[in-house]
Amino acid sequence: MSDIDVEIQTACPHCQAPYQPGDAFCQICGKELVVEPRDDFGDVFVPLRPVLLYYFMLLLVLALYKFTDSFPDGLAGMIVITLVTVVITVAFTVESWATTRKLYSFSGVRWSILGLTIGGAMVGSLVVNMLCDFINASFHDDVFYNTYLFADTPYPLLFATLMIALEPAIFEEVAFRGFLFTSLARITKGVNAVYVSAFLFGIMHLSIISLIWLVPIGIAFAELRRRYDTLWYGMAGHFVYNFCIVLYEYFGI
Amino acid sequence: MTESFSVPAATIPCENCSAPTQPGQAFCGACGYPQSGTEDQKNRFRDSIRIKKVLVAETQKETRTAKTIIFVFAGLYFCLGLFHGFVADDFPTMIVELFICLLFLVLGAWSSKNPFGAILTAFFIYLTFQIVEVFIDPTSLFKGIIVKIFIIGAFVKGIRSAMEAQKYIKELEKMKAVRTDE
Repeated sequence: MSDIDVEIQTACPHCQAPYQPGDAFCQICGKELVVEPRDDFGDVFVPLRPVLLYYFMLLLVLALYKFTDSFPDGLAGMIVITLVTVVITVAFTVESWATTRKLYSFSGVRWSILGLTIGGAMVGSLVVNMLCDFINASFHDDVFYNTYLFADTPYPLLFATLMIALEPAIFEEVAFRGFLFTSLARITKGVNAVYVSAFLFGIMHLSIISLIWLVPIGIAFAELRRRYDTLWYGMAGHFVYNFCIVLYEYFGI
Repeated sequence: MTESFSVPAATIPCENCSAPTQPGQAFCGACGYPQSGTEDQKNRFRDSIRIKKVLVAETQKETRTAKTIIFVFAGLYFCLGLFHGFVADDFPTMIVELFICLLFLVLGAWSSKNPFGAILTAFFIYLTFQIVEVFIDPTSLFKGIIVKIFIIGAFVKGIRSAMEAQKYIKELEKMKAVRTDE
């Protein structure tokens, strides 16, 4: 019985002849052995549709928030924009659940890589903080790092951590390393998907100079996702990175 | 079945990809070349490689406009930066514009190595800039609308052609007709 199973696994799907391990083509009939699930999407903009839709929906909402008065001022506005982006992201996650659910599995998550990611995020946040001081840029230019908004709340550090460290760490990873990356990886090489998703992640923050660090950060998290097929490293690293920045701002480092 | 594995291999290199093959084997296991086929079959295999290479070259012509636009942007922002820095004495704007110039130079360099990713990214960046511009000044939407439509059209065409090229290159890689890092 087991013999038959082995034979079925190593038989050419076209002519049923057995083949040598490592072969790409059948030596008997010359056809391709590994029949990839053909992605016959026709026009490239069809598989790109969720990427375009999500990115531009988010961009419109963020631009409304940053450049117009349509959102309430201060903390209320930030809570509203956060809720809107979370709802959009959750909707796209549900829509793409069939292809992205494997990214949320805990199996295969290694402590060593998790530790390295967290360490890297800490070092990265220090480097970016020093770079910011050097070029006299401020995180406040970025739509997302408005720590001062929390100064009047009862627990500034706690709220800043929730809104600036935890929320982006979950939802930006779910989007840019989750369904956007998966859509991109369907149509192009994994390396390309890493770079494209990193640039999208960067420019979505609507601050040109921040691209200096946002694109490398995006590349790092996207590469972790590509290599290990999980979102947990990215989420952990992203949380630690943003949390460190919250701490620097809070303690005025 | 087990016997074919135990036969001591007196192998000959495949004429197409130089992978070791057994004499008398019908097709090369690595590239699918009809090793023991007729001259006609062998020519058909070589022709198929040649046609795909021509098609890749064709699509590269079609992505040229998009690539050129990327470099034009780099030049444009460079000039704008110099203008703001030295004529208008606006150094923060100069820094931002020179940085955008650098961004497009990076995309341009990337586009010669990998057109698909670079043109797609440039397309997103261009649209983002345009949308932000409209939010800052709504009347700017119709400013140079014909040029904007031309640029978007060129990017869309570039993305489609680069996608085609990607498909042919993938098939050529399978036939061991290009190096895999290309």
